[in-house]
Amino acid sequence: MVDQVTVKNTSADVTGVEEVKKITYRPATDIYEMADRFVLLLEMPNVKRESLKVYVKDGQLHIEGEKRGYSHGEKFLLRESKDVRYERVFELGEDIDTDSISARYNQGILEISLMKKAGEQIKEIRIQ
Amino acid sequence: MFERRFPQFGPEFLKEFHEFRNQLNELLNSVFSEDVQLASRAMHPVVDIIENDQNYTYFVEIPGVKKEDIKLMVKDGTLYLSGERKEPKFSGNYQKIREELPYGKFQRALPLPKDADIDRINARYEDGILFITVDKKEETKPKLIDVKVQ
Repeated sequence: MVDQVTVKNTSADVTGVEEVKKITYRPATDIYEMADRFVLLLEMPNVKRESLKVYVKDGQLHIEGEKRGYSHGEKFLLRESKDVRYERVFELGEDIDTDSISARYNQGILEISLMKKAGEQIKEIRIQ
Repeated sequence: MFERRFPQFGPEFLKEFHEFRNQLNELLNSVFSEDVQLASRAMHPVVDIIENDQNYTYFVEIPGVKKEDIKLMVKDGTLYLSGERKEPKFSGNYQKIREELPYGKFQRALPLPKDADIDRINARYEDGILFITVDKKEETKPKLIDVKVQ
């Protein structure tokens, strides 16, 4: 799942200058298709709210977020998590109304709703 | 059933921890009544443990799990975490067109240090992280001794 390694400046518990490597992660995603919309569920635990970004650019849906870090000097007895930033991009089809995209963050899952453009309504005609 | 004691957390903790985890596989099956499927795509929660003067904090990543689907118990100096991530249900007709998130049951056994006070364990769930705080026993906490300078 690791796409690339980006270099980012964070205040590290070091003297002098030291490179801090932050890994960019593509969050695991489930996509559901309903009659009127698509719903994306992205696994992004422990994200700083202010870093969470969902936007459309050139027909692509961008999702970004940064994980909360630990303060320096913490004494780790076990460290399995990584300092990551989440990033993922999806191509949007013509049928998606980019003006009505909504997102909510709950329990570490980012849920994005993409409404389909209201096309021709299919009306059922009752035969008498 | 085996008996195992951690002398104290130290530089050897990690090594000890991994050995411990391997040994627990058998024990887990006897502790959990339900069969836990450990498929390759099963959820395996990531854990961090931080120590400070007062307590130990366990950070467990379990996004998308409901509070009521998390089980925590202490047995033989070990913290047993289990639970289930359930797939969300939507109303009306729908189709899943991409599937990357694993759903189902998960479990982890985490050793508790010797000085952990098992009567004072608190857990809180927020933003997909389960925070478990385990206080240290009173006698092992560093005490401030008042020294009178004459």
